[in-house]
Amino acid sequence: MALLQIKNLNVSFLINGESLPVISGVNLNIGENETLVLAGESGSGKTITSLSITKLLPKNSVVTSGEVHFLGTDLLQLKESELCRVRGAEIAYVFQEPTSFLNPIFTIGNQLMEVIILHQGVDRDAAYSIAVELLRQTKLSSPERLMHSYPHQLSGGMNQRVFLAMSLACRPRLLIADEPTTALDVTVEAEILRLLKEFKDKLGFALLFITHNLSLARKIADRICIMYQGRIVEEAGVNDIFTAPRHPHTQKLLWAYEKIGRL
Amino acid sequence: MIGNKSLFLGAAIIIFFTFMALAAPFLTEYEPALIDGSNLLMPPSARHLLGTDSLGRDLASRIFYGARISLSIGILAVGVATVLGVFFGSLAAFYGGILDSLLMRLVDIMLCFPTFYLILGIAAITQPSVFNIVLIIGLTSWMQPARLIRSEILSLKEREFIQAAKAIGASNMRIILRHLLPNALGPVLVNATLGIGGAIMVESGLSFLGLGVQPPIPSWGNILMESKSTLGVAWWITVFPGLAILITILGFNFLAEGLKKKIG
Amino acid sequence: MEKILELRNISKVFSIERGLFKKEIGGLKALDNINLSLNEGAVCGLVGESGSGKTTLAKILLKLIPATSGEVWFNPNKITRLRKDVQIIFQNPYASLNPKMRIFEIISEPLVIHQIVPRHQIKDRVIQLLNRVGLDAMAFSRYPRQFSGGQRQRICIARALAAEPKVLVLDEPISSLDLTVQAEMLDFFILLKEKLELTYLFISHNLAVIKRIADYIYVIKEGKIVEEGTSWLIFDQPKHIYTQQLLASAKN
Repeated sequence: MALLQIKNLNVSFLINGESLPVISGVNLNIGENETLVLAGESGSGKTITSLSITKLLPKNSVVTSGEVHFLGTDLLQLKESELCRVRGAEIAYVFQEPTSFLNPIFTIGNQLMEVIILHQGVDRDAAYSIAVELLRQTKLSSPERLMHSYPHQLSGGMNQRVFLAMSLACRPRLLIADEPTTALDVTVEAEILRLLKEFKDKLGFALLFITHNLSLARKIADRICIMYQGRIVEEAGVNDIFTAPRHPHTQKLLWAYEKIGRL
Repeated sequence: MIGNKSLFLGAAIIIFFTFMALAAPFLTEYEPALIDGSNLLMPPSARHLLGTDSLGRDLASRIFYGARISLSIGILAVGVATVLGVFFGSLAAFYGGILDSLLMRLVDIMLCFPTFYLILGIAAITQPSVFNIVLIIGLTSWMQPARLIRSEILSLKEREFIQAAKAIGASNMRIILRHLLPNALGPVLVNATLGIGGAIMVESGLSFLGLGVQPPIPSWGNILMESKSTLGVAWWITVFPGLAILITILGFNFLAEGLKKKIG
Repeated sequence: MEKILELRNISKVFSIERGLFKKEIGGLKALDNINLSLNEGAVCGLVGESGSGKTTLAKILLKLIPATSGEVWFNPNKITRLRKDVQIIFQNPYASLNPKMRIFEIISEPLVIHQIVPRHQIKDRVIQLLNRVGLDAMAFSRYPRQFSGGQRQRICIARALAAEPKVLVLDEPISSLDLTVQAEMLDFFILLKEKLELTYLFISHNLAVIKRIADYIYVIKEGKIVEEGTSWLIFDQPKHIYTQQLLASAKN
């Protein structure tokens, strides 16, 4: 039984009274503890797909039809208040630019503790220890000092680890990572990916990883879905995608990957 | 453009008053300075649409011709201020260093003076004339455009397309005129539009106090000068020029807001 | 192969200023004693991560910013006018074009500045340049915002080529583009170099890209060149630990 089942999802943008389709007929399944990579170029609809899962859509966009079944419930039918309980606790997100998603005027410790208190219902002291322990697990040095630092004082890589810590604070069943390492250096990227894998093995969650970088996909995916112009054009196990791609767009991506994605 | 309501409304108001100013001779048969002893302080009627003043002059005519003076002073004064401000501000921002420091200190010093009283003081000791008023207002309002263009250019300077212009060999003059200014003028334009309303306000104030445009040349401000003594008996002398000033300034404010939205 | 340009003992410190007379109170060392030489007709690769100083190095090479110490040397037989013979393509195609200028004006500007062709031939030359980068003359009266990232980068290339340069400095020219567009552009750069007999300094953090295009490679870390050598040597027998780390991360 799949953890997440997206059935025939259609999302449109509303501009000047006109409705422009962004994603059409998207079907996607993720099993427990599986890593599914959603790959495609910019504008292919991968981010919108991931945001639609918990109805985190930007202002002018709307789900026109489809279902998103998570642990037996259709998330799209839930009210905002009910969805809030799912977001963060059951389904967590990690985005590309950690610095813009972390509040610049609160300390790292403050933000971490807020998430912990909100979802685990413990008091401040307990939250503090949990937060420090989380930071330690992300292999950040001097976690105590970091608790009192602000996002702008840390590098992109460090902030991404903090963000990861925040997302995992509540032991979600599904982690959605949208281009989490695109803005980072290649050495930092390798570390973040290693960390992600460690957490996944230890805590046990499903991972929906969005990227345009096929070499990255190859390193972490169990299965890959290729998106192109708002549709899923191919879906296969990671080895099959690389050895026997069927859709012309997949083949084009692989051609590019051979040229510049592979050493 | 209709979608941008502020822009539309503002433009409509200003076109209205501009038309009034330009077409003044055709809109009224009375000379603004024509004194008519037999028709002093007449309320609005069929013969005198907006009434007459204490010298029997047709108020409507004075307001139409007054539009010419108030609008031109407003626009010219802001023109002077903007040209001066853009000139100093862009050079300071582009060359930086001591030049920039000095200019900013000059701006700070000028801003220490309460502008209106500064203008009042200067107006009191100089010959009141349209030319002088434009100069006085212009020379005391260049600071805001200077600061605006400076901050725009400082941030634009580091943008890649400016570096690219340098790399292909563009001279400093070319970079400032073709690359920096066209991209930096947006906020300055919005500020200038607002400034015209402000300048009209200042001119009206000066003329109201007798230090601005001198009668018999009509300006909305000096028409109001009479209203001090006639408020009880001739409400039209206060209301109509007052309304003209109010609506015109509102018009410029709407236009500025509309431009701001457009420039984004 | 003759040397066409050289960076000799280049150091750059960004000073932190304060006060009315901009007094210097501290500094950030961006580049430390850089030595780099470029041979005519070669493709020199500069590999470094963000913050390594590679963009600063590019800007100093083009004398867009001054070095704190050291010399930028150009071969006087090959490079007579810096602003014409050496051109640069920047990383961000969304910021490298003046949003208020039409494509025609953008590309013709170098032609005008350096008086490369007489006035009446400018239009034809611009069409030629557009065709060379794979765009058609319809682009003339359009603005940059009407084009995609890859197309904008091509417009930047057309602008650079308008000056008829001998050396092209490319600062992460494809990094902000989609994967398939990156691959196309890389092929295009390789073709262009052959056709126009250019010399490249190609800056990138992507080792696969560098491997495809560069003959000789410099590796830069925190403002210092930690290793240099031919492409084969660097990829097969990296000596410095940082180079080895980079290769390991890319392969892993």
